[in-house]
Amino acid sequence: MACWLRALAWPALMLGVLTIVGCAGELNSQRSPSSSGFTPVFVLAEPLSVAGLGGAVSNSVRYDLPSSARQGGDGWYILDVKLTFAIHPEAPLGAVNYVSVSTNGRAAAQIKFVSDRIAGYPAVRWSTAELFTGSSNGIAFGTSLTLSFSNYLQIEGVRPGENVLTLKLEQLQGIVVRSVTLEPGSSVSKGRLGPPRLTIHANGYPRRVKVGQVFTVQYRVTNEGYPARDVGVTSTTSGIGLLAVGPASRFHGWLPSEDRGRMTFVAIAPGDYVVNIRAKGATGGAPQQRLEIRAR
Amino acid sequence: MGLLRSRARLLALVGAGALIGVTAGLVGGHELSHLGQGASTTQLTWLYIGEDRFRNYDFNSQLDSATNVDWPITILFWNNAEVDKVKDFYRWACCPYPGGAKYAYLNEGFGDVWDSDAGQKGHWCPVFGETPHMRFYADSDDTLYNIYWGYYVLASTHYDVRECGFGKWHGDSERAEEYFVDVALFFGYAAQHDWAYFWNYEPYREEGNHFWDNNGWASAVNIP
Repeated sequence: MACWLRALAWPALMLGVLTIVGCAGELNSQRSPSSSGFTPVFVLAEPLSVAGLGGAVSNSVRYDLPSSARQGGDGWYILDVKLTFAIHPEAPLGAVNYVSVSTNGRAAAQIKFVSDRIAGYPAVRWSTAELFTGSSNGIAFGTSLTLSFSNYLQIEGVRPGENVLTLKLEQLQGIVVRSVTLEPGSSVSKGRLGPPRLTIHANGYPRRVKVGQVFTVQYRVTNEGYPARDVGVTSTTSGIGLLAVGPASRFHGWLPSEDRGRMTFVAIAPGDYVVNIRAKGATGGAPQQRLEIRAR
Repeated sequence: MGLLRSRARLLALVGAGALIGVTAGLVGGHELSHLGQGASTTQLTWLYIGEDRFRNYDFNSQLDSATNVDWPITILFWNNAEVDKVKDFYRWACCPYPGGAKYAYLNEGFGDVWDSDAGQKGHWCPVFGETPHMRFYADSDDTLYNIYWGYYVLASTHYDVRECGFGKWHGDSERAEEYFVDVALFFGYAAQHDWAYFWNYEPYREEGNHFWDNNGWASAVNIP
């Protein structure tokens, strides 16, 4: 059943609660790593599960990587998994649980669950952070939740030869997640692109302008890694005597590799001004470019 | 810890570059943060790791200024850390009481953001003696991630001395850092004292009731 259709079945929605995200959530649904140049090097054949009654429990599986394996060396390794959670229907309000997936003891997935009540119905708020989209969160009603999750492994999470993948459930302050299963097909994959990394370079602008002169600043934003999400390029000026003409910012839902653009300014009073141009995205930003412009 | 050491060197190098932009501080004030006024430092800078960056001090209010700092960032909780997870441990292990909120300035993507935290301390407000106090920082989802440190949280440390008594003062960040790391070690966490240089060395000096003392080296605690 489609996610939205299942959500519709919940009475809470009929009461006007719009934040139903908790069915089959796709943390990275906008762009699947497997369709973007990542190839599995280890695929989980059998389900890997843990169930707890309080405290921390874990379960592990071993897998091999080539003798050349090194994060960022022979390629970039990611975790690309599907997790199914059994939610406790009567979790104490405000209880916190964590589910994590690590490789060689280095966490690459951490999902936080906090029990809540919304419109009188038990609910679970989940949240996480990763390097494909930045961060994700949602609210789940009911006793089952499935999430897809992708993230770059830590550097020490990749080593030649035998590696260990561990699924861990930590139940602090009560039980929110009764059990979690890492579904078959979950993988460690390898690709060419590393985490998004933005740089910005401004050029083609005049250092000296006349008052009243309209001038442009050309810039180039480059991304050396995986397409960066929610990238904004913004400019700010140091004084009220230098104004942006037209938009002072530009937004990209996804920035694959490069964007060239220009911004237009006019000096309305003499002075020494600074224009700062900066690119920032959901997974990181670039140091700003500082342009000094004298108006006479 | 070998690779962690190399990361420390990387961070130190980046920090050196960032130090070019250090703002000179002014000394002044007496009651400082308890009158809504921050303390001063000459060591405030950005530290960069991967695509992230953060200020190496926390602040008295949401004003990014070398004359508005509170305490140096002295501990990194890394690998699988999260603010509530780490707080839960210290709440249980030593420090069940909250303090007053302060602010960190950091960036994991969507620009520079403020995070506030009241932290955990051993006593509510000691009339005699002292209590260690640590504040924990990450962004809105209570954790930060990069491939070097995994899921990490930053913390500042200090002691509150006779806070509700006569002759109160606050400080000794270095000694408080050692205390909190020793607590983690005692309960079996892998930790390293003075793991990486965070460019916030503060020789002993008194600034009102703000008693500075920090060797500039932050400790690291591995949260598994």
